[in-house]
Amino acid sequence: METIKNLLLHIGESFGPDVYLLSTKIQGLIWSTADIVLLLVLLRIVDILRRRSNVRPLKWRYVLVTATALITPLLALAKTSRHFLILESLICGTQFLLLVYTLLVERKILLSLIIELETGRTTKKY
Amino acid sequence: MYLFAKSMAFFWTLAEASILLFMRWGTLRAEKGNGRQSGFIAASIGVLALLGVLLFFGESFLGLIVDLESRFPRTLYRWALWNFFCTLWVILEGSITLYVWRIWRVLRDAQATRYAITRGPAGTKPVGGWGTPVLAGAFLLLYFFYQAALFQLAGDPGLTIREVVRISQFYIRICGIFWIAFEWVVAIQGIRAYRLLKRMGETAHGNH
Repeated sequence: METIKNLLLHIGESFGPDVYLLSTKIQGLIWSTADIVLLLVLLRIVDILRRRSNVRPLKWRYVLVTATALITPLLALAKTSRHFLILESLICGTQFLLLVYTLLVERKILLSLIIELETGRTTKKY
Repeated sequence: MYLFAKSMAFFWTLAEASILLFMRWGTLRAEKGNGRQSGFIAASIGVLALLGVLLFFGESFLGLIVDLESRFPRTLYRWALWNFFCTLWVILEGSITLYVWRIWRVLRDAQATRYAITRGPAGTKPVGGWGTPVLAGAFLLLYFFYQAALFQLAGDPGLTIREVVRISQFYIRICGIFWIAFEWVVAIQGIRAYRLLKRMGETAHGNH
């Protein structure tokens, strides 16, 4: 327990605001990039399924993802943790809204894939 | 600013919980042929409502019992609350990752068996079903252990508010490592699923 106490005390002394902000920026950029990738991939998957169902491809959702991708590098320019939180809320908030909206609106299309896979076995499509 | 941060914390929790519900529904539908989860949804709404009360009114309620007027205990409480939500996001993202992995496995197996879902006998528990409780248990333990150590340290004279803040912020960065790991796993699994679907589409086209 004494070791952990000393470790925490060391963190309390050395993990200053500058180190915190820098590590936050680095982590924020990495996870925001992951969010962009997974959102783009989800939209591409949905587009494949929409095409199969003869539904027109997505447009404005790609525009929104691209917009968040364009402002993501601004995270590196945040001067304070507060500034970072506001920017991250804007970027990540938009991305999460898009994710939830896409899953909600496209649930039938996504379900069609599962049904297709289920029926594929019984109807011997191949 | 604190109210804005709390509102965003609640928004992220709601968004991640919604994504988790969708993933769980898809996984159950694919693995068991039945995506019904009304009990799970009711329980989730209950938990989310409790989390909302904790986030927005917890300080007022706890303030009736302990002194949160002084800056030191208030700082300790607020950071403990924020770090609890950080832990919650790790658990939610980790659980989403597990469900994404299970859906990916269904897709991969479907392709391997020439485009059909194969399920075990009725009542068979899918592999990975224990993942979420283990994940939740492990990260809640980490949170309580870290927080307990900090609280114990705070009981000793000499610890300043500045140190409490730094130690608490360091915990957020520990969580950040897991957020990154889980989000990249989901992104990579997404890419693999996309490539697989594309391949399956091409195969289907070629066979028709």
